[in-house]
Amino acid sequence: MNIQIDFTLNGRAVSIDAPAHVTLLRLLRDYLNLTGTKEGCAIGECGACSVLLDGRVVNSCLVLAPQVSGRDVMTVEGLAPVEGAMSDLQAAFVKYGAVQCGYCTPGLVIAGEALLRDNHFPTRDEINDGIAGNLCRCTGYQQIVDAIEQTARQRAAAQVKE
Amino acid sequence: MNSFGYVRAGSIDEAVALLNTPGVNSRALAGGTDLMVAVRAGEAGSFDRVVDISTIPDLRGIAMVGSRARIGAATTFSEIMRSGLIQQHARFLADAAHSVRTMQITNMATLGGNVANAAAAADTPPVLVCLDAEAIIATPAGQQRMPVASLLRGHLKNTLPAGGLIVAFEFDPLSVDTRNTFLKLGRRNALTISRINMAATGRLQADGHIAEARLVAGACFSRPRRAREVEALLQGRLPSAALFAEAGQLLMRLMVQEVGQRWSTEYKALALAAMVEEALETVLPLPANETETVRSIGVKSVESMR
Repeated sequence: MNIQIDFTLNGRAVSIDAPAHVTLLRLLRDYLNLTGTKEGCAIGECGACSVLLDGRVVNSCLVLAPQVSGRDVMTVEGLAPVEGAMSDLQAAFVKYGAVQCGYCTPGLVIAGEALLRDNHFPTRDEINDGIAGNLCRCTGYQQIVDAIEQTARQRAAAQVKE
Repeated sequence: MNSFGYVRAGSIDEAVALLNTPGVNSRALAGGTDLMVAVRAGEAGSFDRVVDISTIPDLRGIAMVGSRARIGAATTFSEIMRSGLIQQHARFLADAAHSVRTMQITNMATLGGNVANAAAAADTPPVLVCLDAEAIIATPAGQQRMPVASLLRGHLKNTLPAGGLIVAFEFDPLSVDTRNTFLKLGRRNALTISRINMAATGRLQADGHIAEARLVAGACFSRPRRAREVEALLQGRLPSAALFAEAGQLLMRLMVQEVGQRWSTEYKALALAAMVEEALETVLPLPANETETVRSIGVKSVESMR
């Protein structure tokens, strides 16, 4: 049973015909060719498939595609201000060694972005809490927390300058 | 994954009509955090379509209605965690929602879904039972009320009337002199399923005796229920470490009586008793000369969700 799904994806209006029973994760990867969002556990435990839905972080493996009709979705592909560049948070992940195998990275960048939009000055404990839904088996998390913490400081400093 | 259709309901009446369309097997979809997992595992049974109730305005929000606190069934855990009203009147419900610990889940998961799904290890039902909360249920024949305690029948089983949809929950806010706590024991701090959870409230009389205590343990009995036997033991007594230890032992015996010896009992019974003591120490403060008393059983991994 196909259904037309109209929504905003990374700032652009999208209209796509897809089976009603596919997940948002499948819609993004298989129907819209946005493969930055990863499938890890597919049961909402690992966070690799994290996207922003109306600005809030969710597991796209647990969202039914038609549920996003009329709503706003942002994936890791939509974070950079210009195509081919990186956002400040993505650049910080590279700088602080927060990327090893890279599979968890898109989800963690999204979770980090959601946290920073909500809390401009997170403590390390609050960062740990903010990324509690994302598993990383490589880094031991400290570099990821460093990257998010440093991005918060950079953004705060930029605010002061303005 | 089996194939099914999707329809979004705009109002409660429309949702009830869609859920009861003759000849169409429909399932309500709110946050999807349980349903989508069950669908993937093939455990959801077969249905023809889902009825998305998550955007119905009347199913969302937290407000006082007269003297009662009312929470819409499709209100998310994140909204409960952030609610000033809940922080003020039933903080342990916000603590239970927060104990899920991952924003990806709390941003989607709903209070109504947590109750309707009726998982034995669910975190919010023990709190709602402790509050004597009522569920308001819309059916094709009109609205009815049911205590949350009688809505839960056992693991993944509810007693919702056929074609019924939980619309909201209502409860009396806790009085200002009532303390409350939610405790959870899991295998780790981040995203974890409760091995045991516990909701408790307590109020002391001016003379220090226990005016009222309520205790509900989750994931221990066939369904969350108030431990009336323990509550009766505490009623009118003076708080003491010995009394709380007795309460812990009593609940431990009741659990073993009801569910029998299992592979986990040796560990779980001790942990349950220790959690009872910790919960009661929080909601029924000991007199100053008792505070140095060491708990009879120490379980370091019991994490208070304060």
